[in-house]
Amino acid sequence: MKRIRKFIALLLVLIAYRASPAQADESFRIIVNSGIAIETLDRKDIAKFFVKRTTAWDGGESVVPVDQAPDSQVREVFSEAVHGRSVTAVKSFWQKQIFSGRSVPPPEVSGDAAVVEFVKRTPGAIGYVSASADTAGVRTVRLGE
Amino acid sequence: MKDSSLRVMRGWVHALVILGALWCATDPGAAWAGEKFQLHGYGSWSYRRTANAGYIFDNGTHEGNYTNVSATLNVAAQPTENLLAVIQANWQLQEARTLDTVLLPLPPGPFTLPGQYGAIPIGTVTTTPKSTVELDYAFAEWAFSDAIRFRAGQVKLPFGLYTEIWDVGTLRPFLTLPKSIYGGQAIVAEAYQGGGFTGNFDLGDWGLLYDLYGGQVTSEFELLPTWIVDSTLSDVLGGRVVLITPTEGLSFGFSGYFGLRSDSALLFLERGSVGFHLDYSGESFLARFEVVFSKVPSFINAITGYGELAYMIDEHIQVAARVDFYKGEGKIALIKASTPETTDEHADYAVGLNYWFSPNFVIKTGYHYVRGNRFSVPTAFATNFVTPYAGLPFDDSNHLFEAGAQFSF
Repeated sequence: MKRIRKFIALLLVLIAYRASPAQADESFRIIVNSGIAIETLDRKDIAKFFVKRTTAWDGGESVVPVDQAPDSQVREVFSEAVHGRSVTAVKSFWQKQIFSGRSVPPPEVSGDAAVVEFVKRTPGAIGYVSASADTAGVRTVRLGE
Repeated sequence: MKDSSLRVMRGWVHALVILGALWCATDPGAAWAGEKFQLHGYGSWSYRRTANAGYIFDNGTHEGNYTNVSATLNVAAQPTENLLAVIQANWQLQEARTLDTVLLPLPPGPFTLPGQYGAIPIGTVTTTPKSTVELDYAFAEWAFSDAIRFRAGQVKLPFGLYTEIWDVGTLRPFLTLPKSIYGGQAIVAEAYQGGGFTGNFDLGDWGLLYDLYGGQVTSEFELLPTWIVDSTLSDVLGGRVVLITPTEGLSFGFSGYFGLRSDSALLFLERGSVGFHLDYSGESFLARFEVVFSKVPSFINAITGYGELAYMIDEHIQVAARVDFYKGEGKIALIKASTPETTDEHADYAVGLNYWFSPNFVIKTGYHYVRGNRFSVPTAFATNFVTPYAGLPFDDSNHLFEAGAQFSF
């Protein structure tokens, strides 16, 4: 009986551990312009879009990423989950890109509504919003591994 | 008012101006980042003091030098998805040193006229603040694809780790760059005038960045701290390859350039540099290493390099260490005979302690123990190449204390 209880406890711990990443993923959603016919995007691909290592969708249309303000909660979560780096580290990356004349960072807008509006009106745009944001008019993309 | 008091007051005025700019710079909204047009910038101020009386090192003097200020504005426009245009200008305020002279009648001789007067050095040096404005770069880039982008104009020279971010203090752990590679040897330069290709290839978990360029390179050659000549190298071909590894923050690369013609006052001929670099920039830990071999045929060969480490103890405090070395082999007999051997050598052992208010604003302090006289030279010798050296050795050790602030937006 003791062994069974231990096994069940271990199973519950494992289930909780597996649940945690999904819970973190649900704290933000990836959205794209409705003209982009895509259902799932890998984290690595999204990261490449946002640091402009990849600048075109498969169909050839330009990718236009949009960031949220550096002090926003959803940006912090997005940065850790997708880039695997803090917002500070990503800002340092962009400092180097800017001052070496290599690239400019994505525009930054304040709040979910502004991100949705940007993505809705900009062909090829991709952004992220909090899980509870109203995403009418844009396509929500599932986050793959 | 005494010169020293004026210098101190001037230093405080500079510091207050910089602090005022810093107050604005710490506002995350200070940089204007629109969709198609962006304005950014950075600045720096430092106080630098050496231990050796009468010796200069890296703009540090025995009396203490407050006049080390620079500010840069960067304007970038992306009117279409394929077109990027960038302009960057830099303003610097530093001490200029001139030898004090007195007019005296020259002794009669084959090259003097009767009654002719000449300026005779009296062994002291006057320092005055000198302001310069330079165009760092101005170029446009057309992106055919991620792999092929063409850029033309005055472009940042892609070599090693720091040429493209030369004066950006918030992207490095020490106030100044290692002298070995970036200290006015004409080993590297800030920019080239010409055209080139750049791009990146996605290799799965790896990435490859490349640069290939041609044109003309202008760099400073610091014969002495007060004798800096611009050396323009033409018919240049250069490139850089950087591999981005699957380990987040780790990359390494190879750089090189070679030019065929030079029109400097010292009549350098063809010259070139090749180098290897490694960079690990993690969340808390940073490690960088570079080594460069440079050759100016019939003039000098040099092997130079540095290694630096930095660690964030918490989100604000950073400790840093650096070892920097230079070993030159001069080939001109006259210069070798008129300078001590130690002027071909340099080693700098440095430690630093920094406080980061944010990634855009940092206060830095550092201590350097310097060996060799490639960059640490007597002030009077630096201003009058011949007078103070009469076969006597220089003091080949020096110490530098530095403190300052750097910001970006």
